[in-house]
Parts: sequence; C-alpha cells; structure tokens
Amino acid sequence: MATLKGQNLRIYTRVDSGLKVVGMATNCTITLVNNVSDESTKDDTGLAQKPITQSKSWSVQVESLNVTDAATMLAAIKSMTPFNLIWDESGTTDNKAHQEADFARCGSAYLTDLNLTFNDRTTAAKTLQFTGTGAVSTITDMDLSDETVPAGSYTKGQFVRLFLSSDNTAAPASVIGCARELTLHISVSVENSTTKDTEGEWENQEPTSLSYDITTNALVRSGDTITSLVTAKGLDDLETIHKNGTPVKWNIANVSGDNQRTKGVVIASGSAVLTNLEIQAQNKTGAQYRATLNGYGDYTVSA
Amino acid sequence: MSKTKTNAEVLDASNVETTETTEQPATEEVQAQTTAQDETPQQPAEATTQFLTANSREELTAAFEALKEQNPGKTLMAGAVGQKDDGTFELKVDFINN
Repeated sequence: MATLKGQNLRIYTRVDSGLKVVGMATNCTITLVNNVSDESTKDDTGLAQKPITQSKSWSVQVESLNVTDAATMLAAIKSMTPFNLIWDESGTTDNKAHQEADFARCGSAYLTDLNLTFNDRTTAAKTLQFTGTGAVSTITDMDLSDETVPAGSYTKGQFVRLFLSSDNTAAPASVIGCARELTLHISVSVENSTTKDTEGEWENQEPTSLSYDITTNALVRSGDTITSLVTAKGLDDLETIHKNGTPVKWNIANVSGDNQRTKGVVIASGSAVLTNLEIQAQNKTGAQYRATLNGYGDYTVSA
Repeated sequence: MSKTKTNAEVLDASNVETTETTEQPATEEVQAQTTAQDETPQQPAEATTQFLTANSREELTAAFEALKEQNPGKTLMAGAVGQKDDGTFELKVDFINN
C-alpha cells in the first residue's frame, strides 16, 4: 500500500453538474473536533479527568495561489450562504479527478475567513477557512462528474496596491509609497445554533457578523525621493490620518506604469479607520511602518 | 426565487468567452454551469464569468473599460490580474445582472 501524497488529497466544491476542485491549492487542512467536557466526579479516585463528548464540529482550511477570483471570493464571503464541500483523494494522472476514497467526506460549510496577501516580489495567495454546519457524511455513489479546471495564472504581489484618500469623501487616488506588503482579511463570526431539536451530534452554525481589516507596511523615506516625484502617501500622511481618527476611503486595485502607481481595474473598495500605526526602527535595518485599517461599513467588489 | 443569492448562484458562474479577447479560460475553482449569458436574460440574479486576456496590463484595463461600456446596467466584478506561462495577462470578470 502506497502512502497518500499531499497533492492527492484535495478540497472540492459541489456544483450543480459536478465537483470543482479548489484550483492552484498548495495546502489544505481538515479538522474534525469532538467537543468534550470533563465529567469526572467526586466518586472518581485520583486526579485524572474523564472527557465526555458533547458535540462534534469541523472546519476546512485551504491555501491557494489563485487570486484571480479575489472578487468572487469577496462576494461569496459576504453572501453568508454555505458551500457544499467535499474532500477526497484525487487521481494521480491530473491530481484533480475525485476518486471517492474510503476516507472521503462531504458537508455544508460557511466561508468564514478569507485572507488575500499581495506582497512585493511574491506570488499573491489566498487562504480560505470554512466552518462546517451540520454533519459530515460519506460520499459514496455520488455520481458527480469533475468540472474542468484549466491551467491557472499567477499574480505578483507588487501589481496589486492599496490606494487611500485623506478623508471619507474624496476618491482614493494615492498609493502607499514604498509599500512592501498588503493583506486584506475578511472574517465572519458564526454562532452555535444547535438546539434540542437538532438530531445527531454535529453542531450547527449560523453567521452573525462580518468584519475586515487591511494591513500594509512600507519603508520610511528620508529626504523624499520617489514620493516627491509621483503622488503617494507617506508616513506623514498616515500620521495625519491617524490624528484625524476618522474613516478614509480605500481601493485595492491592479496597477501598472511608472513606479507601479497607475490604477487599473479596481478589485474592491470601501471605507476604513486607521486603528494602528506602528513605526519600527531596528539597528542596521531600514525604518518601516505598519498600518492597520479596520473596515468601516460594507465593502464593495463591484468595479 | 429567493432574493438572497445562494453561493451556487454567486459562484456557479457561466463561463462566457469573448472570441476577440479570450484564448482559454483560466483556473477558476468555484464556477460551474456553462449556460451562455444570452440564454438566460430573464434571470436577474444569475452571474456569468468572462476571462479577458491581453499582452499588457494597460491593454487589459482598456479591455475591461470597454466591456463595462458594452454592458450598461450590469455590475462587473473583476479579480486580480494573473499572468500565464506564455507571458500574457488575464482578468476574470463576473457579471452580476442587476
């Protein structure tokens, strides 16, 4: 018996006509939990606990290098409707076709965490975290075909940038000068909605709220060079935004042109409040600052 | 039909190719049906997907702006620009029929 390779255990989403593998995935983690409580009593001698299972829950995390669907994912997490997820062994010829292995399972799950990273000179990536609601089931005799997943493409992090305005009225027109990293993180809170009416041991979950934050970092410029040539936000602008303490508008957009500052197609936009501005100056290292903005109201994925 | 779109509706997007801009669709893990966009004019909640390809980012932006003009009244959602092995650039666009 051969050992199952990581590339042959894959996450699929069920669609009307079949299964669609999560493309360009690099890692996946499936977590099955028995939620226990200590039921030891005074009748028990010794100090050991007696964990008794109260309920079961599950989650799935997938990491992928495909961010061309960033807008689709940003819309999906806002929709707060569950996915039908499957994990299964894939065929070794293409690593995509599902095999209905003995360990394969399926279930309904909410996309509860989405992390999109666009770092300089690094392939952009996304992480999807799904929280299961209800039971995990076997998938034998599913009679579903595999949807075609054509060759993918990579996105380089430096070609997606954050644009900010100085207030909550003007359009965001300036990039963060000399930026290096950018992360857009969306999180949906879920509530355990299991009741006595619920059959079986598996917990049900319901989404309750959404929050998001944007994190970026940049080098601090001294005697300004690039920022004086082309409009861009510098540390002084971020300090002003922090001082004001009010929302500013943001875009995350594809870029091109001189210094990669020409805004192309916008991926997402909204308003946010600068909640944290951290300036770091380590010996023998370029000074840099890290800014965290918390989403203010809903974001938009319409271009 | 419920007013709230399901993920199947959001993600099971049709893959509508434009002959002048699309050589082949790119990786898309959560799309499904291949119903042509013009075959479902009576379903306002349907999303369809199109992949634009070009030789530069600037051309891709121009192609996207042209696509917007060709589709007044529709909401277009565009993802991050990807670069394929052959050096060409592509952009995934989802149409949301309002």
